[in-house]
Amino acid sequence: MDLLLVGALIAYVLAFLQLVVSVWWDEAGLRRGLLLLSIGAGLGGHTVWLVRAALQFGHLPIISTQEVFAFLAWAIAVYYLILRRTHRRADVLGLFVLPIIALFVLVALVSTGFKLLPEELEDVLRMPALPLHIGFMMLAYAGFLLAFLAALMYLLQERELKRKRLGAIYRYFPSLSACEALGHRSLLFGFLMLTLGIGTGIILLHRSDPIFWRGDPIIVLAFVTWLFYLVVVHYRLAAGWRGRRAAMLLIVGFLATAATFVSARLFGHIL
Amino acid sequence: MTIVLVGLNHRTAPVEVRERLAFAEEELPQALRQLVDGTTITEGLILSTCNRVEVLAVTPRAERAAVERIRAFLCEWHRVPPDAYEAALYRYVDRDAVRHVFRVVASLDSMVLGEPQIFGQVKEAYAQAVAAGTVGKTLHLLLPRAFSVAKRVRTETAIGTATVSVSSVAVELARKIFEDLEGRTVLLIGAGKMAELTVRHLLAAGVRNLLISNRTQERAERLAAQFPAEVLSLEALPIHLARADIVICSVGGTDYVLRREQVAAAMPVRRNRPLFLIDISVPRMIEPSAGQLENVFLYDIDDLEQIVRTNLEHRRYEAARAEVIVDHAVEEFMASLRRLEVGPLIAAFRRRLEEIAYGELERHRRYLGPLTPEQERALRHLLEGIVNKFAHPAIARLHQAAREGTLRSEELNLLELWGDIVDARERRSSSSSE
Repeated sequence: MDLLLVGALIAYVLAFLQLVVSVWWDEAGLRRGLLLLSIGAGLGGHTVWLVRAALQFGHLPIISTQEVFAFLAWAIAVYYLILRRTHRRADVLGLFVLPIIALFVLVALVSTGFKLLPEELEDVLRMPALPLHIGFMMLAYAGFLLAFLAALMYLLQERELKRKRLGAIYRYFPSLSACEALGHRSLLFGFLMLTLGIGTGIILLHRSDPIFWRGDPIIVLAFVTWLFYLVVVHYRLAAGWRGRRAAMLLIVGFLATAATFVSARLFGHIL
Repeated sequence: MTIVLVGLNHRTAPVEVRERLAFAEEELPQALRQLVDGTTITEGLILSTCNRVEVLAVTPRAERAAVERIRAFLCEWHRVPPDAYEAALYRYVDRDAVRHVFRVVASLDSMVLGEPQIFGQVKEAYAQAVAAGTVGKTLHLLLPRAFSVAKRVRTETAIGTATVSVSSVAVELARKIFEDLEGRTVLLIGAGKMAELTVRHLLAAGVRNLLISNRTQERAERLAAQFPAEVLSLEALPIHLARADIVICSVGGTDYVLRREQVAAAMPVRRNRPLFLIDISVPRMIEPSAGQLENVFLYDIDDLEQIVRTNLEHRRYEAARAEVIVDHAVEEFMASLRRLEVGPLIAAFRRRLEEIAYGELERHRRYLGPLTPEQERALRHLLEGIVNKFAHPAIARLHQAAREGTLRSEELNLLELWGDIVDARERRSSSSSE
C-alpha cells in the first residue's frame, strides 16, 4: 500500500525537477504539459492511497501523523492544480509548493501509520459531517499556505525592485501584480474553505458529546484565525489594501494558522 | 574545395563605406550569378545588412585567386576603383571562414552582442542564393550547420536574454511590476527624445492610455498628434497623477516637478496600486525620496544605465561560453567537410586503378586462350587484390588526412599528379550540380 505513496512522492519530486529545468530554460511549453502529467500522476496515486486507507479503517485517514500529513499534502496538491488552471503565472509557485508536498508525503512515509483511537472518537468519526469538515479545513490550510508563499514571493521580488539590484529573483519570479493576484485568490479560497470548515465544525460540536470537547483553546484559536482573515479580506476588498503590508498580513495569518494546526496535533485533537 | 570569405563590418568600415558596398535586395540574384563564374568560384552567397557586407564563396582553385576574384567583383559591381577599400576588407579562408560564419550567425560578431536579427538576415541571404542557384554541396552543408550552432548558442547560453537599452529595460521593469501592460496608463512629463522612445516601446507592449504634460503646450500637442494622447498642463499634474500607472519624466528645470507629498497623496486615490516612476531627466525632476514610499518604484537614469551595464556584462560573459560551442562546432564541421570532399576523390582513384588493371587484362587476353569461368573469376580476384593492396596505403593516408584536416598539402598534390582523377572529379561535381 505504501508503494502508492512512494510512487506519488517520486512523481512530485519529478514534477519539481521538471519545473526547475523549465524555469531555468524558460520553457513555458514544457511547464504546461509535462508538469501537469507528473503532478496528475502523483495526485492519482495519492488519492488512491487515501481512499484505500479510508476503506481499510472504515473512516477518513486523519488520525495518525502519517494520515494527517498525507491528507494535507493531498489538499495542497489539489489546490495547486486548481490555482494553475485559473492563473497562468501560478506554476512558479511550485518551486516552493512541490518540495513542501514532497516533504509532507515523505513525513507520512516515515511516520507510524497506526494510532489507538479513544472510544468516544469512534462515534465522531462516523458522523457524515466529519469528512466535509476535515476536507474544508485541509483545503483552507492549503489555500493559506499558497497565499503565504505568494506573499513571500511578492516581498522578495519587491525588495529586489526597490533596491534596484536585479538578480535571479527578478529573472525567474512572476511580476509583483501576478504574485499579488495569486496571494489574493488563495486568500479568498482559504477564507471560504475556513468558513465552511468552521460551519461544519460547529455542527459536529453540537452533535457530539460536549464533555469530549471541554471548551477547547484550539476552537477559540480557530475562531481568532477566522476573525483575523475576515478583517484582512474586508480591508483588501473594501479599502484596497495591497502591496508590502498586505503581503505581511498574509504571512502573519498563515503562521497563526500553522500554530493552530500544530497545537491541535500536539494536544491530540482533530481539526 | 576551399571556403573563402571577404567582407567588411561595423568594426572595419564606417557607414559611408558600408553603404557604398551594400547590395540592394533586388540586385542580389544578378550579383550572385555574376559572382559565381563556375571556374574560380563555384558557390557563392552575399550577406548585406546595415552592419556588414560579406561575400562567402567556394573555390576549387587556390584561395588567392578566389579572394582576388571577389575583390574585383565587389569593385566592378559597385563601380569603385580597385583597391579603394582595401584597408576595410577582411578575408578568411577555410577554418577561419567557417568560424567567422558561425560567429556571425550566432550574433557573436554583432554590434549589439546577441541581437537576434542577424539570424533571420543570414537565413534570407541563404534563401536568395539558393533561389539564384549559386549554392552547392559545400554551402548546403555549411549554412544549415551555422543555423543549428546559432540555435544551440541561444538555448545553451543566456546571450540573448538580458535587455541592453535604457528604454527596453524600462519596459521590462514595468512588466515585472504590472505583468500585463495592456490597459495601463502612461503619463509623460516633458518631451525628450529618450522619453519618446520609451513611450513607443510601452505602446508596442500594449499600453493604451497616454497622458502628456509639457511646459510648452505646442511640443506636447505635436507629440499628441503622433500618438493617441491627452494633453495636460503642468499645473494639473498632481490631480492627474493618480490616474497614471507609469510616469516617465524627462524635463529640464530647477525645481522638482513631482514632490514626495504629491506622490504620497496620489497613492490612496490609486487604492495603493503600484506606481512606476521613471525619471530620465538630468538634473532629476522627481524628488528622489518618493521612491521610499510604499508601492512606489522610482528609477532614475543612473539606475537604468546601471542595469544596462550589468546586462551587457552578462552578455559578454555568456558570449565567452558561446565561443567554446563555436570552436567545437568548427572542428566538427571541418571534419565532415573533409569527409565529404575525400569520398569522391578516393572513389575516382580506385576507379582509375581498376580501369588500368582491366585494360591490361583485355590487352593480353588473346594470349591466354579460352578461360573457364573459374579461371576468369580467379583472374579478376587477382587483379582486384593487386589494386587493393596497391591503393590501400594511399587511401588510408587520405582518410587520415581528411580526419585531421590536413588534406590541403602534399596528399592533394600527390593526387593531382593523377590528372585523370582530377578530371573525373570535376566531371562528377559539375554533373551533380546541374
